Amino acid sequence: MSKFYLQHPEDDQLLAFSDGELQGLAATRLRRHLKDCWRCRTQLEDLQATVTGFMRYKEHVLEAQLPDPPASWRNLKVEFERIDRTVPAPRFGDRMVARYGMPAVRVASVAAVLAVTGLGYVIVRQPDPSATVPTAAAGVGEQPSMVKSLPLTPLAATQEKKDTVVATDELKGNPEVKVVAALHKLGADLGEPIEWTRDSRGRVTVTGTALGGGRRNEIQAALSGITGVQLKFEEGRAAKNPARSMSVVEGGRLPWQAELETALGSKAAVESFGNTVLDLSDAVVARAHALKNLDERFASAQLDPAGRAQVDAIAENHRAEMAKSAADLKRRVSPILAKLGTAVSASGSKWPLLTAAQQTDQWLNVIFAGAATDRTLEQAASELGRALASLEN
Amino acid sequence: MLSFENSLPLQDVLTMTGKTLSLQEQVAQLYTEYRQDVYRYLILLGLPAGQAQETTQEAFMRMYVTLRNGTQIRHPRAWIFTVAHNLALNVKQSESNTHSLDPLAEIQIRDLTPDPERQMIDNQRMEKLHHALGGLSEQQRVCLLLRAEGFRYREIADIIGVGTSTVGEFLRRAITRLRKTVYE
Repeated sequence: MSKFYLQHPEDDQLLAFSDGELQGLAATRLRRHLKDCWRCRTQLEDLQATVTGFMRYKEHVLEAQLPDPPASWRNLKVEFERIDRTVPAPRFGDRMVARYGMPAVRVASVAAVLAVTGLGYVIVRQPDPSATVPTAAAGVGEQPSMVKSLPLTPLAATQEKKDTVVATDELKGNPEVKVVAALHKLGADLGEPIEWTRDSRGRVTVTGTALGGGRRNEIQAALSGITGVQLKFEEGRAAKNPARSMSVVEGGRLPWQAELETALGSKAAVESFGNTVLDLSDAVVARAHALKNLDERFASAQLDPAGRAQVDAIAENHRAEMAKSAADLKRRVSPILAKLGTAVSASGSKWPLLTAAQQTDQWLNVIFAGAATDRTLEQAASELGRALASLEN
Repeated sequence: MLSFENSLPLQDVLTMTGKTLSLQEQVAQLYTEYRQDVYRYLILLGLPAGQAQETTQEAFMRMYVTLRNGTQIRHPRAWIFTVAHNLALNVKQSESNTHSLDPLAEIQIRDLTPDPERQMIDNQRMEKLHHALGGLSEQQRVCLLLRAEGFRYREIADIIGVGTSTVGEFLRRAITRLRKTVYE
């Protein structure tokens, strides 16, 4: 009997092993145990035979008899064209960095247009594809039943009198700037599922999705003194931002694991380094998004001098923090690029800031998180070098 | 004054293939590639064919809108299954929907091989698998189907909204049940 695995593994461990879900020491121990133990090997083969049998059944019996689609598939390009023609460009709050494929955007404007264009879709909100959302049965603008509204200052539609009080864009002190400043102070403008919209009368509605009780209280307290603001909290799962560990890569190995281990010294070092630089990159991208959002929202807005100064100060803070993270990132990545036979380019592309941040992030993901690419390691490293240089332009 | 030009071109967001496909073309390509898988999955979740097809199309529309809004989708196939899964649950839960089907009810065991001897063994095995599958809980069946679609435990967990270890447990129970029925 193997000294590494004294007890026979349970079925779930065998299944996880055969599915490539068991990693590291656990996988090594089980592999060694299987070498020694006929009983467990037989059990594993049984499991695999069951899987094979099920797959044969699924392909040859089950799926072979499922009904064909009753109509021909729609040409969605036509629908996409229609959306492009009718839906306005994405606005602030519609762009939130969603890592690992979990989007967090509100698309109410799209919902309206889709309904108007007769597509039969109503997308009231789409914070997370896994959250239940009302669809075809829901009316335009209908809120999910899970929505809890906590108005800080009464702005109900029935309060006509109050509405006329806040009916202009020149609300004293511009509530939107105040909201942005308050959220910035909390660090809530860096990719948290908090968004806000401003209506034509200048009223601001702030919506937080799937926030914990403590965070809700903080936000409520921060916004409570601002006139003309409504705060909503919605249930549902927020966009996931899981810690990026190498375990997301199949079998725990990156496509260029050997080369990276040579450059960094060990598997653990590769994992630790990857997590560090990806976290730094997250910070850079979040700041770049925040800057772009500020620009989109306020660059051409009519603000009083105090409001303008406040926006500029927030932007300056984002810029400074981003520069710090970018410098740290470059300092860490440069020696590794050198070991991979390339370097941070002397001059990068004249990309917009967000593009440079996203490019950097994407190439870091390719190299250190196994994101798909058709480039070689040398090419990917070179792209990363160019993107990093572009962050400084 | 802040100054920005356009953000990262949308067509670069989805893939890193280096090809210069427009966002529309990319989503259309994914639609062509995955729609049948999604449709079949929705049928197996119990949606009638018409609703399964509509829901599949809607999921891809949502993908386009989401990408157009600048959100990155790193695992498009898992994303589309997640959206489709939830849309299907909404359809099934909707009060007006009275057409939820048992997709296994209409399935007949057919001969897989011309060899009569093997035919009998095969048919018996397929019959047993069919009944065993019908005896699984909905969650176990869904996990099994998603695993058969090639998703990792973590992706399945995201799609159906449970923890990764729960997925492992559902799969273990499902496979154990199938194995017992068929081989014991």
